[in-house]
Amino acid sequence: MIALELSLVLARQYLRNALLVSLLIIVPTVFISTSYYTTRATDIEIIVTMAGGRRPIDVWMPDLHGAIMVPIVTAFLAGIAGLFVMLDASRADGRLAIAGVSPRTLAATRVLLISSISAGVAFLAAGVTMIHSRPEDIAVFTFANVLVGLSDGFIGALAFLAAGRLGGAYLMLFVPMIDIGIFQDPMMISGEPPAWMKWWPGFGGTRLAIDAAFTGRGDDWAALAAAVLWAAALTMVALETFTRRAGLR
Amino acid sequence: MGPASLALLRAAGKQYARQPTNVVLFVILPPLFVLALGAAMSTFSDVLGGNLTERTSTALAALWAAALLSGSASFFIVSASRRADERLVIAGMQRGAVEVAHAAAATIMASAAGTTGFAIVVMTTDIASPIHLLAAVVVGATAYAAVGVALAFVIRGDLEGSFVIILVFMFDAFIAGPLGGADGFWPNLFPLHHPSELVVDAALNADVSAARYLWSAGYTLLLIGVAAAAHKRRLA
Repeated sequence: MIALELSLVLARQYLRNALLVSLLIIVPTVFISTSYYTTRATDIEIIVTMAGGRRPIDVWMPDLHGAIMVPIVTAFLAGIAGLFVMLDASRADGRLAIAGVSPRTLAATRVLLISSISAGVAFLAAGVTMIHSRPEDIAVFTFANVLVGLSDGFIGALAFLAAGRLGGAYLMLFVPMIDIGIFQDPMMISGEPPAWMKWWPGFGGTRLAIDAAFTGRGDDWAALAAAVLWAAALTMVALETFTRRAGLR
Repeated sequence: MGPASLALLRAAGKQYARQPTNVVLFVILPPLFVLALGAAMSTFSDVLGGNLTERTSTALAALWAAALLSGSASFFIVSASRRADERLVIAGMQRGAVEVAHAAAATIMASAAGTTGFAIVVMTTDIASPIHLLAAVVVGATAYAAVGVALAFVIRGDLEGSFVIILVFMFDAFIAGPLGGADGFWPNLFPLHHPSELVVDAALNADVSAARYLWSAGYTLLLIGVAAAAHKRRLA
């Protein structure tokens, strides 16, 4: 309960920053809308999960680009937000610990805050794409993007703890672009991606999102399991790492 | 460069080198990015309406990696040193010396980022004019270093600054460059537009337009001027 109250207070601190809130709205809106209108108006063949197997279908390329930009933007923004939430935490949590807040509560607060920002960014990005083209299964499409956001949000937070402010920023500018922007993007990698690309954190969520957008059936259970496992594992690792870190103060 | 600027530059270099993760990432990220993006980007260019081969895609990836790294490094380093700069000026250091040290640091970062990306491209791809490629990559990286420095004086928060860098870079790379087949006057307003075209020309043939060099150099100088003015205003 204390963790929830604390995370609400900290979230309010971010919401008071007008520039940050504006950028959180402007960046997904500009990226997704621009990608929709600058893509060549033609069909493209992609492979999706249908009737228990992977089958090729033709989709309208601007719709595909608009759909794939949602996990890309979500991963970028959630990752960078996770990184700097942890940077702020490193400054503030020492004082909170002195004030008597337990390490477990501090860790839970940061996990709640990063989860909320990541989910918020995913909802916003999914909402922007719906202005231009409506994914066939909106609920699964949004859920898949929330899973992408959670994974990258915690990767960002852990990147700060592992590599510091500048090293973490380097990582979070490149990792989402390489993972989701290249390896999981059906416009970049035509056909079935090689097995090693499926081990990356963006694989499950992105595949689920594309399936939900164009087949209306998010029934690729392997992709769903991969996305949930990555999100859950990163949440647990983050919780444990944050707790240990808060306990050491 | 005077002894005060040199001492400041040496201290900043030591501070950066004391965090080996930063150095390692600075060296390994451009090659990784070039290799990952090079093969895929020619397909993506076809999607957007541009016309790139694998050779030009690899060269463009080097420019992007160098620009993104030098822009973000300059932003974070200058943004972190704002208070220290103010104290140095209060303690009697010439404002110009601080500015020269920052300009030199940003140029070194841009050259280093450009050279690592360039090295991997030359090792893996047959480039028509490596010299022009290196020059274009370093000019693009320097322009982004100036953008990073200017942003550090205008935007206070790390999070907001990162979002602006991502926003400018994505527009620059995906919409205003050869990847998107951009035409008309508006792409000229983005710092990587002409360096990107130079990179494409250098990759395919040695016939590089002097007008593009002039525009790139002029734009980069303008950005350096904006960064210097922002610095001066901050320290005034």
